[in-house]
Amino acid sequence: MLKKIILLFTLLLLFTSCSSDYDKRLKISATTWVGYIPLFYAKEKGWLKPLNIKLLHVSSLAENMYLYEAGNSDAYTGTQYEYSMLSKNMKSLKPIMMLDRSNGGDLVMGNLSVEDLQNTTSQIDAYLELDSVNNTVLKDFLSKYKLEDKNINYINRDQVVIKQMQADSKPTLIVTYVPYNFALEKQGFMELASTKDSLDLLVVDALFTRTETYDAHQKQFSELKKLVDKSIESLKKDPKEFYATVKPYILDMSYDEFVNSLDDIVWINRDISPALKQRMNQAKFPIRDLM
Amino acid sequence: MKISIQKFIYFLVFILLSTSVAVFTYFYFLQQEKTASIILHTVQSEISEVNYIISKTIKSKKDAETYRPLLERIAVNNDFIAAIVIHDGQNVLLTTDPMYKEILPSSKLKNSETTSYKQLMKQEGVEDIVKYYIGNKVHTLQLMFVLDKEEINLLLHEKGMKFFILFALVQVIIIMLISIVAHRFIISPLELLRQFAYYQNEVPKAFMLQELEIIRYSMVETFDRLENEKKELYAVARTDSLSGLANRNALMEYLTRLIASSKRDEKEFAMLFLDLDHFKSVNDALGHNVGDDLLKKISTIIDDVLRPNDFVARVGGDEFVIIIQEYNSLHELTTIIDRIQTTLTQTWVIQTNPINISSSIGIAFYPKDGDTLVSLMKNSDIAMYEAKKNGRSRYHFFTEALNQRVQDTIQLEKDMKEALANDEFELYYQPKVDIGSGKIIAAEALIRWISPTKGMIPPDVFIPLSDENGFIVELGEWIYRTAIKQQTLFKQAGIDIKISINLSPKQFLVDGFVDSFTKSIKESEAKPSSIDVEITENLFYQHNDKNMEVLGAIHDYGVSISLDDFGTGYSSLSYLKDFPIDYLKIDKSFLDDFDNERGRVFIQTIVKMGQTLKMQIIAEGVETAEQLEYLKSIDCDQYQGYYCSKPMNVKDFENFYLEKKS
Repeated sequence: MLKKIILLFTLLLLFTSCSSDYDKRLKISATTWVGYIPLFYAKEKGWLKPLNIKLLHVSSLAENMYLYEAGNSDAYTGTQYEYSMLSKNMKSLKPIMMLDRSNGGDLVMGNLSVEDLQNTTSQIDAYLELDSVNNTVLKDFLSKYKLEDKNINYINRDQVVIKQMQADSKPTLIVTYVPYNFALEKQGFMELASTKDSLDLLVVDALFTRTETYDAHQKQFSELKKLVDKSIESLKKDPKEFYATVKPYILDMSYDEFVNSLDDIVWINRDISPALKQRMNQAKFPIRDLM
Repeated sequence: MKISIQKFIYFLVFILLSTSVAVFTYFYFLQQEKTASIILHTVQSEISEVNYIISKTIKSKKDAETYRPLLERIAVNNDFIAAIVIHDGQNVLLTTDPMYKEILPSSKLKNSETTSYKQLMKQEGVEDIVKYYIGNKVHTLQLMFVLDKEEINLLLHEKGMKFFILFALVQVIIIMLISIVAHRFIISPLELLRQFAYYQNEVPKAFMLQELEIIRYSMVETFDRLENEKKELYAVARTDSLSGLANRNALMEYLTRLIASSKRDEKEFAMLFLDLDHFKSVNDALGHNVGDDLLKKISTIIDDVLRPNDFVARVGGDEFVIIIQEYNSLHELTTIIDRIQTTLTQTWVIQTNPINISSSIGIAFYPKDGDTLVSLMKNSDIAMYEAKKNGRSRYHFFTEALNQRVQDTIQLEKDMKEALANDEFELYYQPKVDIGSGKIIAAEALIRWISPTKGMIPPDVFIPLSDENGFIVELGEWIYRTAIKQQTLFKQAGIDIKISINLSPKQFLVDGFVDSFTKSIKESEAKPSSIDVEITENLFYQHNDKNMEVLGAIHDYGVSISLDDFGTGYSSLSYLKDFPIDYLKIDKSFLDDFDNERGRVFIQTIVKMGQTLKMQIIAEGVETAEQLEYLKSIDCDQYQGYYCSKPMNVKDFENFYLEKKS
């Protein structure tokens, strides 16, 4: 009888301990930045569910970072700026999957030309997400175009709010990124500079998490990497189908705008050029733990 | 109904388990309800909070989009909210998740279920109305929180599983602990006690539970006591209480083992059957207490004389069996036997009585003389009797010839009894002649056994045997009844003579012998004076008082007494004085010495002595005229012998008598 009880107990333990490799839910948060869109494609395709991955989407890079910091997600997408912000207090934070390099995707817009801005003596309102790469982009822009001495009024807003702004007479700068630029263009703002050519800034996007989380969800991350690659392949093969799938997440962006936005990034999910590697090393961006 | 403690404990465990399952089920649903309640409360609090913020800040429904960061933040940070939707009843103004852009019907947002859990399971979301003012005009928007059912189910499932595992684990551990403790401290000790009760092969160690320990201790004490008693009983059953030596049981066990090992090893051993000579006389003369003390001393001495490997047992009153295994030759064996007999042949002083005793030993060998306990005992016994027969105080080896003789004797005993039943015995009569007148005045009845198969069997073959085995009592009765009858028949035939009948001392010991004897005389209408009883000198020293009493009664009845074979036994003048003897029969051996002067002096002395004591003298074994003449010259009264006639059957005797008379 005692043996039976022990056997029953063992079976119970086995039963409760036996489950799939994806028994722990993995929550990943991302914005709707075009470079992160493959994640949403995978979600819409239903590929994430079997892996027990929940994709959360937020409207700003900073919010995304805060969400992760608060422990409400297990991994987050972001640029090296959000990484450097968090890694100060999270020593085990690391990029595990490179997604894209901004090639015009991050840009500075305004209601005046650069020359007008250089000549104006009025205060310039600057709308941006201060706790994000926007800040770096703006600094780079001000530096490059000798605007550091100007009276800049920094206004911290999410991109969702910023995109609703209407161009008026007050000198205004907006730091944004694809796809929010399309709405702003329609509302009278013009592109002043971008990471494509005007700015020297290197902006790379990756998926970040801590070593402990990575170890706990290694298989899920590994499978996710494959799915991201697969999504990007799908994008390249059939952009229309891809666009139709992810359309609810990219707001009011048309197909053409979507295709154009793809020109503003370079996918680095598979290969990273030696030159880029060198630049990332110079920027002290760790790439040794990349999947 | 009987149930084992083990099953009983398992039954209790089962009851406990059942109760636990009931309690678990209750608390499982309780925690489920509580969790559902918390989820609903959380979502409702969130929607209320959001409602407040929007209602206080919104200016137009076009501003709905400006709340996206806030609502997305809330939706992302709250696991139970899949999406937050703002709509005006017809159009969705904002959704935090493009997947949710439909307005859910009220039925999916409200229900009348009684429990939070059921509400949560049925509801798709939670709805609230946002009121705001443009000027003083109130406007409304619908705020809808879509529940993440998957997340909620997952949480409930996880919580349920955790609760189940924790609760079940605790229960299982408790039950296991109870089972282990019960097994360790109750069932296992009881099983050990059961085994101990059955086999007593291993004493259980002390138990922790007091009651079980008391039982264990009591059992150990009881079994120890029983074991000791068993050992004592075993020893008693195998020890002779008087001598302290092994008894017959022990001998049988020892021999059974020894025979088995000797058979296996093809080894020989000797069995000595020792019997003390005339030990009965010691008991009779000095009392049994002296006899017992003598036996104790002798037992001790025999044990001391033997070597450690030898074995001795007392198997009867004065009978001992000695087993000797280790000897290299017969010489060594006889040396041991001599040592025993020599040691016993000493003057023992028992209670101030000096006693001389000897022993007779019969020896049988395994396997030559017997390969079983019974055969060895029988044959060593036979050999011992042969030693006794040969004069006692000696030893005798068993031989096949000896065995045959014993077998013959046994057969003879059997045949004798059958012969009496078959009327094979017959009385012959030898005349007793008055020397003065030359007339036959009496006759001695002498037994003859005429077997239809073996012919005439002489009395010296069967009379000693019948005397030894007691058959003489039965045979003797037949003799005196037949002889007394014959006296009457002779008388009727004109032969009025006295008939002498030989009686054995053993007949005197039979209760009612005198009555039976005198009754026979009465029944045959013979005169007691015409009957004579012949006794031997042995009668004097065997049961002296009793014999004297019987002989006196017969004599008083009128029957005369003859002392047969006078001068050959242990005659004493005092016996002649005390016993009522009428006739002295001089033994034939004296007549055989008639040729020499010394022999004649003995005969004359006996005649004179007897006549002086008022007895008549009868000379036996007279075979010549010279002997008769001499007897006449010394005034001997009667003679008996072949000179007159050999013993004759009735018919021949009658003819002889009548012929002689005429």
